[in-house]
Amino acid sequence: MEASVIIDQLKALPAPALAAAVLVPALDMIRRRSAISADRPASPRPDCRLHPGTGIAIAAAMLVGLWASKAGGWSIPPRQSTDWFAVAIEAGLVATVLIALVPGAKPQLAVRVLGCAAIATGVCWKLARSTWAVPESVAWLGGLTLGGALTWVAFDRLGRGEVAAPACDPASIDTSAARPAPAWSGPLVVAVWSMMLSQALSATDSLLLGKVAAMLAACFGVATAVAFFRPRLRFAGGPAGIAALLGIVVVFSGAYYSGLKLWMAVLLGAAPVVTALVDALVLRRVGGLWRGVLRGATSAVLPGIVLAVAIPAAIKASEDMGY
Amino acid sequence: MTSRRGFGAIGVTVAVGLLAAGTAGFLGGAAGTAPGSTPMADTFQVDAVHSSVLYRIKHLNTAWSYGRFNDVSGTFNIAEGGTIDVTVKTDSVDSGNEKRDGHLKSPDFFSAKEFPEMSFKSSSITKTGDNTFEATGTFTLKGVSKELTVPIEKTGEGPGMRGQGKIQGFEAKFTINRSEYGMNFMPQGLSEQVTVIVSLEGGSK
Repeated sequence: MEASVIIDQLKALPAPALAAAVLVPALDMIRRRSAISADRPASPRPDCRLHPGTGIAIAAAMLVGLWASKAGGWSIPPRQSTDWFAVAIEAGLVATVLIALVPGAKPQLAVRVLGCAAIATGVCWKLARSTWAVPESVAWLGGLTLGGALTWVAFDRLGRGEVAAPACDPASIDTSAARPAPAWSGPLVVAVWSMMLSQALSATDSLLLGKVAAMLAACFGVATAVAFFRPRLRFAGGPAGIAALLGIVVVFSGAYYSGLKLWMAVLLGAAPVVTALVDALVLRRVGGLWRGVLRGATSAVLPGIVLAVAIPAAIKASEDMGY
Repeated sequence: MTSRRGFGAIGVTVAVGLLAAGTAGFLGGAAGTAPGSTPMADTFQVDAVHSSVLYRIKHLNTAWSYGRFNDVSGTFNIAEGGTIDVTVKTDSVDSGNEKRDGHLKSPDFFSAKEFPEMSFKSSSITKTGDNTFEATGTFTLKGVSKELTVPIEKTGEGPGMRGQGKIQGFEAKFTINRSEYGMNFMPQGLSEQVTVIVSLEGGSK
């Protein structure tokens, strides 16, 4: 890749990373202080509420990154596909607050599905009205909504860390024999996934989409570091939604408007779900550092297949162009 | 990492828009009348086979990279009170490298599936010299519409190939700032300004 392109992408990362480094610990500190001052009575039920602090911090950091790097527009309603970056993050911010206010697992799931359906409908609306036949519209809308919701749920489950899942999520697997996963392993999975997504998009004709995914990786990379030193950082809820909703926009744009092959998009979309399943079925008896490392490695397998094909092709193309 | 970036892509985009505008202006020029006269002119239809829409953009502040658009259509009537209505298919961008063309068609540059056309529709055409005109109109690229005034030179006219009807040719050259049309990708590698050169031939309808 040409040096000027690499520089352009790297220059987009410090702003969101710095914002996340300030906001993530700051909002987590506010959450802890408010929890202590609330002096709630003891309850036999676990606290299943998902706190919005980390989600708000990640959303704000991403918006700072978009603004600083001029990646995408801010038109409301969105005028073009790149205007949906900001909208997806803003929708994730709203979902973060809603999920924090909704106590039960089913209502929280409804927020996730509705959020994904809204963003999927938004990015597909013009095409569904003017270009696609009904089956194609249904396939794209259904696929993006389902894929986004599954990704969101997968990231959420991985982000629960030491928070007990079964009592809060009736659909969860019995974890009686499970060992707790470190808090930093949740954001690590998102950071690894979005970093590899960034490389896949960059290798398939869209450096702009790759830059946005790289900013997401930078924010979650910072969140990983913060969680490493602050093990009780709450990650589940909003942050996963921001990654899932923004993922819908960039994966769709890459697959439909740019050169990302459909099979590549499917593998990239499936990676978080596969990671959550492997974690629940295989890794659950592993704890500590290795649990986090194995989670991160698992999340890189399917994107790794995509990159194994896309990067050599991109290098060949660059040579053809004399870069 | 990868990459095919579109050095030429940005330039192409801008160029296309500019070219469209310029083309429109040129094409519109006084078909069927002597240069300088302003009676009601014929309406000319763009002859894509004998027309060129080119762009140039500077790569790494070093050398000009040229490209073209292969699908141009529309009508023109260059004269006082004439009209220009030219459309260029963004999917027809041709930078001389198939891989780079793919990048130029992506959201980094033209987003050709999302914005398949760029266009210029004149609101007024004024005569500025013996064979020169200025066309003012709306140039639309990537969904962004801006008013643009394009200088036009009438380059010739005469009978058609088979002696039927009339043909006329125009050329325009102008420069746009690509970021004004939402193409701000790769500012370090590609110049902000893109020059568009439009040379169009049209036949009377």
